[in-house]
Amino acid sequence: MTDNELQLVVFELAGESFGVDIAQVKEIITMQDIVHVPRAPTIVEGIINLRGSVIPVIDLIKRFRLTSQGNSDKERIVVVEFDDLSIGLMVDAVSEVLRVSRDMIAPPSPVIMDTDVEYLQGIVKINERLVILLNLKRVLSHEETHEIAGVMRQVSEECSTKTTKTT
Amino acid sequence: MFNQNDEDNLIFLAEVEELLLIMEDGLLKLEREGFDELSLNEVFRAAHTIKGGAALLDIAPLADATHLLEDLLDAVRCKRVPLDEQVLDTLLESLDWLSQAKAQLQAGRFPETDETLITHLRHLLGSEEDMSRPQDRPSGNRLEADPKQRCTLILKFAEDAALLSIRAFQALTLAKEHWQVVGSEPTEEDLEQDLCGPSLRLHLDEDPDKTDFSSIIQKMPEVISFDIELPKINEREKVSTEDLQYQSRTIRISVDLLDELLALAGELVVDRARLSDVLSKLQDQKTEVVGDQLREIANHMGRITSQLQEGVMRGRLVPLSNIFRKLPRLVRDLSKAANKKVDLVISGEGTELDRSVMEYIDDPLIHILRNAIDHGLEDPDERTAAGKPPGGQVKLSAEHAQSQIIITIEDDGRGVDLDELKQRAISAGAITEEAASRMSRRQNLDLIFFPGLSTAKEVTEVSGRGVGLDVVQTNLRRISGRIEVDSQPDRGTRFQLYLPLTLAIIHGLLVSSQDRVYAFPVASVIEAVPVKEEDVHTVTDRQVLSIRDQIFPLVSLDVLLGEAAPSSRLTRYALLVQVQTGSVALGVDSIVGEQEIVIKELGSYIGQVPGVTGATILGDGSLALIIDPSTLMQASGGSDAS
Repeated sequence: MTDNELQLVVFELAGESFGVDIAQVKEIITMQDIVHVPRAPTIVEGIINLRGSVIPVIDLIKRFRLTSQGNSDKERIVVVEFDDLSIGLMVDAVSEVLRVSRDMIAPPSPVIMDTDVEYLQGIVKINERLVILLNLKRVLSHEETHEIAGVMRQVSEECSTKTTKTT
Repeated sequence: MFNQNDEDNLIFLAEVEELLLIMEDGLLKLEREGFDELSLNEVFRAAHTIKGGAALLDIAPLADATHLLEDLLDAVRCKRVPLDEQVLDTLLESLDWLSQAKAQLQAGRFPETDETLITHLRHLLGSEEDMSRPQDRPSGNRLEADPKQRCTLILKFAEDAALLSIRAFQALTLAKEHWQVVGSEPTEEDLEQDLCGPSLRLHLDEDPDKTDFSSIIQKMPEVISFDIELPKINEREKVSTEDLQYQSRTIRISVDLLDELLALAGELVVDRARLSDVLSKLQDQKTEVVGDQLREIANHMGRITSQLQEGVMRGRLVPLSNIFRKLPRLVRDLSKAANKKVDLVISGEGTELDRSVMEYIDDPLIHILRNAIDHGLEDPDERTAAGKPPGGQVKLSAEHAQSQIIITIEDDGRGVDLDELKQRAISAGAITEEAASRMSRRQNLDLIFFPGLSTAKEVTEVSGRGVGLDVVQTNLRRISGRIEVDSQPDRGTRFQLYLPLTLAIIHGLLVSSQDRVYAFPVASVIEAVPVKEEDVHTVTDRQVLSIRDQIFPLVSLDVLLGEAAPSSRLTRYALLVQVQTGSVALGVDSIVGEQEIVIKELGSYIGQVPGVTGATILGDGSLALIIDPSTLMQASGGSDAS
């Protein structure tokens, strides 16, 4: 893989595709019982036991205020590593690993560039499909969740009517 | 250059640290109680040992400085130089420099001579400065070959002993303190040249029959046996051969290794629980023989793990004296700077604490002491006017109580000014005027733990900026500990730190509520009782439980945790727990059992959660939250308890 390329782990949330840099993904495990921790930060859904370690888990559907369309069979927990911490992300399904070149990544349109879109690092269009590249740092931050469901729709509409410039 | 990772150097530096503390203790004692030959000798001996080691390892600045120190100490010992304030201050300053030099060496840097200090030392020595080699010393320490020798002591060192010549040097020094040593092989010069074999011969002018050699020899590191030879004419009679098998009673273990061992022990604990789990499943299927074998294995593992766990835990225990002994110097410096006379009384320093818990109390102790000396204690005039002795007293004590360590810091100063504290809190916006007027005395006192409350006049060079006590409280809570304060105007203030014995494994009581399992530290539960409908009463809308004529407020654990809505459903069991305001009965559905549980932190991402101090992995791999009743009650707005 060259410097120009990025490998993304792509997963589904409420019918949308999201991607995270594979370098940040530690492992993907099947859904298991999540123990709720009362009075923990709202972003934390609960904790799980990962081979003897206690890992916090975030429900991304809740985080992004989307409506779940998941098939519970395919639900997974994507364990990412960030700042020396392991954190689990609940997703509807993990679909694939995509190899994309950096110039295929378009930044989110300036029109919708406000705080809500901090989660997005970019958009990749592949074969009529849009993969939203997540900014993990923002996603994991303890800050208030923002209403981005609407934004997501806007983003995909905008992108599907454009043609992605590639060189 | 100095290689700080070289093993010999590491050993030397560790020794220097020990010796510096001995010297500091000795000097502070001399300052308090005046001239005392024993203390002087101790300090002298320590300096001498450091000098020897430094010379051997070619650390000239260190060797030169300690040489001068030695000379000054000797001059004081022989009364050529008086033990006055100037001398003591300079000696203590030298210790500071030595400490710095040691730190530099530990970082791999070569220390630089402090010219001012050297000049100072020379000046105090005056014309007495002894430029000659160390062995030319006044009477009692001559090493000339003297035909008069009544016996020869032969000391053998452990074969794998490091720094042989330093050990021999130490033995020689110790010998000279107690006996008339007329000569040695190798000689002291040889030793300084690092010429030493596995044995040291000491020619003594002592009567072997009347001298107790072994008690002194036991203090010599790495000496494994000794012989006494009598130089009778034509007769070499070996008198007593005692094999001492002197072994160092303590070893230095890397903390990382201990942490690793403890983690392993922790995993074994989990395995043992898993094994029990599988065992009970097998029993259900009536495979008896296999069941018996497994049971035996589980029992054996149980015994092994308990021993392993206990051993490792003990390995991690360090006496509080490790921290306490740094404090007299701090108090001396602080009281000098504040122009107050302060007497520090320490007790219970032998109380042992887990190493990791130690780290958490270092700063709090220093902070509280600073507060006490800077603000708590009045200056001598004020005290005399108030009818108190001019010198203030700070009592520092530690004791073991149940499964906690309690450290108490008490001063006899002016106490906390409650009104002034209240005003400060109001102006800092921490509380409203209205809330302030309704405050209880306890709540008023606890304002002291609010962040950012120090007034401008308190921000002295030495004391904090109002960030201290709240940080102390937060840090203590992180390890399931707490801090409490009490104060009486004009009588003084008392802080008490409550600390857990260990951070890793505790005895836990498992309960379940609505199919979720929770763990309580056994120490936090007074009693577990079944709940009978006739024992439950309702008093002003709240449920109470009556047990043996005592009344306890009854709250369902689930409701407290926010996992269930309050309902009239009665739980089947209740845990009587001690919380800040009294005792409370926590309702649960069933008692699962007691077991050793390994505390797993929730992690920094989740951070501190009130009422939950961590999680533990049960035998079947599921997680149970570990509950702390005290903070749980506080977080839920704590109902009044009995």
